[in-house]
Amino acid sequence: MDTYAFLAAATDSLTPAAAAALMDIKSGRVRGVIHYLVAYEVFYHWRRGRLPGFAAEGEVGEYLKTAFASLGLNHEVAGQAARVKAEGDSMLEEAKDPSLRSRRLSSCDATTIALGKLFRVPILSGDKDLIYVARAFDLEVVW
Amino acid sequence: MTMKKSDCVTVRKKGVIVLPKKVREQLTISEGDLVRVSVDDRGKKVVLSKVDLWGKLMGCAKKSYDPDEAEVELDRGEAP
Repeated sequence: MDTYAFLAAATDSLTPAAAAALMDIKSGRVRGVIHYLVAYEVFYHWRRGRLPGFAAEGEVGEYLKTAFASLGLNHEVAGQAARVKAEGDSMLEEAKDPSLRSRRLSSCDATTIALGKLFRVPILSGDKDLIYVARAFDLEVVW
Repeated sequence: MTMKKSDCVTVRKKGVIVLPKKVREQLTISEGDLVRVSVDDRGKKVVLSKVDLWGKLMGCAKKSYDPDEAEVELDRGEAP
């Protein structure tokens, strides 16, 4: 699950498919997985006041820890993420949609795609640049 | 709630127990909900309290910002 999905859940702007996927994670029917950089971004957005439902940083951490499995990062993932970032940014520069040409993958996006590739799992995200590159790498994106 | 003999449950492997239906109904606990498990101050009772951490996320900032703009903010911060 990518950071974007947390923000969309907070702002009530999930698509029906994304809301269904999130309910599957909540019920335990599907295992929700995040990684260190997604957690970092969620904490960042909480600090910026974008997740006001959580009263304290500890609540954010408790939610992430209890609701999601966390994948560890290692050199293999870092190498794969660097490749995704380099190739993905070139894809975005040459995208047919002009609104994508100025966008770049964040380290978090590149790592999410790299983990999706390594574990062959779908990604839950509405982030336009992430979706564009992930689909170019033949990954399923739920949104 | 009056404790009856039938309210006893067996602790299975790794501490797994099934909450009786009437307890789930009373606390409106359903599949996927989180419960906090603690021991009371006297160290005699296990206390289960429903924790709605998902409820703290869902709709907590209804239409107050655009996730696209928030997402791009972090991407921009990394641009060389």
